[in-house]
Amino acid sequence: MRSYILGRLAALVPVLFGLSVIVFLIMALIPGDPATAILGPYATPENVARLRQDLGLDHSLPVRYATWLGNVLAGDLGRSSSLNRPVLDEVTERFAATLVLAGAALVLASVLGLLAGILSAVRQFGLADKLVTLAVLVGISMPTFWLGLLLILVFAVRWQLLPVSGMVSIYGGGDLPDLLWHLALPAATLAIVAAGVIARLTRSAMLEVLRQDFVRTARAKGLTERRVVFGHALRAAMVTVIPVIGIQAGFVLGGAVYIETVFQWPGIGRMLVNAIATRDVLLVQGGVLVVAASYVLFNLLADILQRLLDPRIAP
Amino acid sequence: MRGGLALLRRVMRNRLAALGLVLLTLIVLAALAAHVLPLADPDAIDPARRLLPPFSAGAWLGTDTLGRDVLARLVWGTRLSLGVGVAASLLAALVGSAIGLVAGYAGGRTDGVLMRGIDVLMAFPYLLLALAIVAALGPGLLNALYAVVVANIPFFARNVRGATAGLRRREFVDAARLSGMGEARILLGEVLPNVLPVIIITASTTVGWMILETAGLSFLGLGSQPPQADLGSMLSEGRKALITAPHVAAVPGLVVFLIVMSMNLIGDGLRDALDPRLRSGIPGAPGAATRVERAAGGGGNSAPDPGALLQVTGLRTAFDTAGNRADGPVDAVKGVDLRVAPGECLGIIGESGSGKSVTALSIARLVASPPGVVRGGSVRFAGDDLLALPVGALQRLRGGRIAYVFQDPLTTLHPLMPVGAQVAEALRAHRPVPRAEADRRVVELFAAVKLPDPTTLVHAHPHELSGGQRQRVGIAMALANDPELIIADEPTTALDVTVQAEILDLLDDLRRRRGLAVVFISHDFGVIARLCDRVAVMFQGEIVEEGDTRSVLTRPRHAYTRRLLAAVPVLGRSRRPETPPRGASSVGWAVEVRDLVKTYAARRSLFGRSRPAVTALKAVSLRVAAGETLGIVGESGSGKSTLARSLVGLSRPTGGTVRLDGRPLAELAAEGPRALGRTVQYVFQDPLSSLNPRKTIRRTLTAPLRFLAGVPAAEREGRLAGLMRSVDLDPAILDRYPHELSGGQAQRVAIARALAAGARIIVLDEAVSALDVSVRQQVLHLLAALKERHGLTYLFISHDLAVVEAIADRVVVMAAGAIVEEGPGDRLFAAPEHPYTRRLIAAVPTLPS
Repeated sequence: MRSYILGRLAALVPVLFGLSVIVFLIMALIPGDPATAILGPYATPENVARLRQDLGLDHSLPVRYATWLGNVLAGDLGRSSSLNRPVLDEVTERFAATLVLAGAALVLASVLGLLAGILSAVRQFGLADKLVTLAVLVGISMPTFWLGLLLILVFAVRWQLLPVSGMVSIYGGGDLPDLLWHLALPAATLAIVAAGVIARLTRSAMLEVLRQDFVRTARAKGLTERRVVFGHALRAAMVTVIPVIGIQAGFVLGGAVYIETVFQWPGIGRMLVNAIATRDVLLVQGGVLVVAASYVLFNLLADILQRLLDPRIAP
Repeated sequence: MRGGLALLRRVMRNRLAALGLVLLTLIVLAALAAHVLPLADPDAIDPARRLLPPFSAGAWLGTDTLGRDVLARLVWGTRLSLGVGVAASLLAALVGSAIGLVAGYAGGRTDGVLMRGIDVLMAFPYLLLALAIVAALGPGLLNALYAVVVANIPFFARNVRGATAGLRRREFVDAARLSGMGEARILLGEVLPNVLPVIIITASTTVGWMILETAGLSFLGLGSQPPQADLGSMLSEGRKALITAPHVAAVPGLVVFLIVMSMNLIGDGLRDALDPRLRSGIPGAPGAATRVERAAGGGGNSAPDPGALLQVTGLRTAFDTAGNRADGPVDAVKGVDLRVAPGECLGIIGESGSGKSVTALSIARLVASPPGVVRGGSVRFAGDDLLALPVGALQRLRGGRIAYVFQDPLTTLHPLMPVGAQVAEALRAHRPVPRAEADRRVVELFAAVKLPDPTTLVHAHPHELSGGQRQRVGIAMALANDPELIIADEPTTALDVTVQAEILDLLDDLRRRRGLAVVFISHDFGVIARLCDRVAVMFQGEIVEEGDTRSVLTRPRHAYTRRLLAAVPVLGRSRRPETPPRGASSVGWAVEVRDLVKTYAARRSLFGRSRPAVTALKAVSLRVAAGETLGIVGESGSGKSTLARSLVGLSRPTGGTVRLDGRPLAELAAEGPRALGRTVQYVFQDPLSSLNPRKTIRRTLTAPLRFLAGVPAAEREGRLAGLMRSVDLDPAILDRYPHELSGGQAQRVAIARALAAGARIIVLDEAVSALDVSVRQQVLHLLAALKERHGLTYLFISHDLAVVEAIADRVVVMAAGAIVEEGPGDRLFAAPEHPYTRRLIAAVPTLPS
């Protein structure tokens, strides 16, 4: 197991390297000169030349990449031009808010998706299966940014049960119940699509496994149906479901961009959209890099979990 | 085109998919007809008519914040969103599939580099990559399109690569290469058609996302820019008036939802239609016990026999699949009667499809259901009718008084559980045993089935054990609760012959010492003769003959039994007439192999344990004269298949030389596929995997005629017919697909392909092993006749000694990558010299004479 984890960690190095190159290149190759953009009306040729030198833009790309990577590794992601504060501070603050939202949504989606998937596989062609199938179809076809608006209309505007937006109340908020109260609608909205995908794949994985010979062996041993389904079939199905949950984590992180915009959640997605609109290059770069790197680490955890379940996976 | 229409028809049969198709068609038609429809100008601003509600005069769906007509904007916006989504989908499919095809087919370094790149793209959360790209390119609809394309390329690349890499190792690709097809032609002609369903399925799942994501980017203000409006930017504008005029945001969102849903419905329909596993009837997850639907008085009217432990009367089991509902379920077992006394062993023998396994599984109602259903008869065990028992009582009997041993222990043991725990579970399911005591019992059981080092082995997983060890675990599991009856369904079929002999000895010993009754299912007369007191012969769902094993085997009464017995090649019975030893002809030996070595290099991972180098062939040398048949026998891991593949260049040896008709193989191969394919050909074990499932027999057989023999198109028709007749097939079936043929017919096609270009040396790699006994005999006769007619040289590789004895002039015995003994067939089988050969021959189950 230890050698497996070490091996996987080693395999991460090229991925993280590739990732940093892409993030760097995307921002470095932006058409137009960042110095001119930053200076705006003060972009006299002399000013531009001086700023270019200050920003290191007069060096070759590999040199600039090395400098940038060195700074990143030292924890310096630069300074946001629009917010005038260190990118790292802004990014960690915003990312924490996103993790609360996305984490809650992923847990919700996994629990709902697994339960619905198992139920509909075991009762294949029954009423429960038909209902789950319908719900899944609606769920995975749903534009979440639209669903979020509809839910706000119903729950916040019409029934006034839940807050319209934000992460905490402005006056006297900030404790856990207040956070959960604000979290309910956005997390549920964000979970819808992922829950549908997980339910659908759990269903097909369970159906596939239930047909296998070893399930027949379990029955031939005289095990009860509950033990056959949960002890044998689900265990084998999880090997295919866990990577799906890993992939869904990526969709949930991405989907958070919409949800944060709709619900005014102070997360990193909304930060990125604003940063793109204001052409705050360093902020976009830092945000994308941090989220992508965390996602890579999350997938490493999913891989390790899968390996714990399935000893056949080679190191 | 014909295939496309058939596919459409299959998709339309799915009601939901049809609904999706209709819905999408309507939306697409409306979008396409945008400039013909009597719509208002979508961009005409009229502040006086701001935020009119739906169904207002002149504005069916109301107006937006600037007083523009929502319906007109909706139709034009849909047109834009659809166009962008479909374009993105096509682009992503094209680029992603091309990357996947190349990576999967080339393998090695190309694959490594391409897929590492894809891994890096996959390392970004989906939407984040699109955001980063838009950030770089700047907001705009076209840039959003590019971003969505890049974010979706990995899905195509990965799926297509996986499918391609799987196909690359398939035998029909090897066969195409031997038919003289070049690599590009194989990739486009053989691989791509088989990968196409994967591309279609991936496209059908991703096109919905792509429409969603482009709309989403517009919603965020990063896609279409005003005044141009797609559905996403309409939604974004409507959001500003969400509370006062919700329809402005609700309507475009609903249309996005409907488009994506209809695409998902069609996608599901396509997937069901294209996935062969779903196509063959109901995918069905089997329930706890086979459904019993006995007609009134259809069972239980038999008088219980007090002396019998198991008494089956008039058992009828059917498979009720959607496809045959019109003419009723198909009976697989048609009224079977069986009786087993305590401590007795009853064998059930039959060919595939005879219903023998279904009979065995019906006893404890383990036939997968759906689609299985017991339609009549009774199964009495110690007096109780099992077909009438509630599931709980049945579960107490299963694994308790009635235990099963199944065929392939690799698939019948849970892959993720230690084997000891699986046996302990069987114990604890029936008695409340403390964990520690159960573990102790398991070690005892492992010792009883003669597993080595039981205390360590209990912690092993199935994949860490050999086939024989796994089957011992299966037997230990069956013995766990001291059953009275063991039902063994082909328990030794997946094993090597020497391992089979050990397992049979073990079963025989256990049954005698513990007084177990056994029902033993097999297709092999020798195995049954070794173990069973009585035997029942099954044919097409019925027992045609039953009696004392010895008398059935020596004096069969039923015509089918006689025919079957006559077809079984029995070791020592088919002595061939003495053939004079042959030498080299004027061009030398037909096949000459010298010191052939094949080593699979050691693999070291950076941190993990390393896999040591494996030597599959240790300096093998052999010579075959023209017109001779050389039999090569060995068990799994002996290197016989590696040797066979090396002879036609499908496996590259590490050292040594192969000469065919006096010419080095390397030289032939260097001349291109033509020279090699006209000298030597190969027939694979399983014809269904060596024939391309998406090509008709005509196209499969045309390849060698065209690429190897260079037969002009005008003459091909006649040659094809002649070829078919030479393997006793009707040329009328030329336009069929492989799955429409029987196993014997398909193997004849494979033989015809090998003969098509006039190669004189044919390597037959377990070429009759997958066939039923009677079909096997016909194919062996055909091979003998063809050899006579065309003066062929055969290298006949098999694990079945009796078959080799029947066909080979000379035999080599291989073990652990080396030839241990060589000699004329009659001498070698009558008086084996090497101890391994003796052990091998002794292990072959024999029939009483």
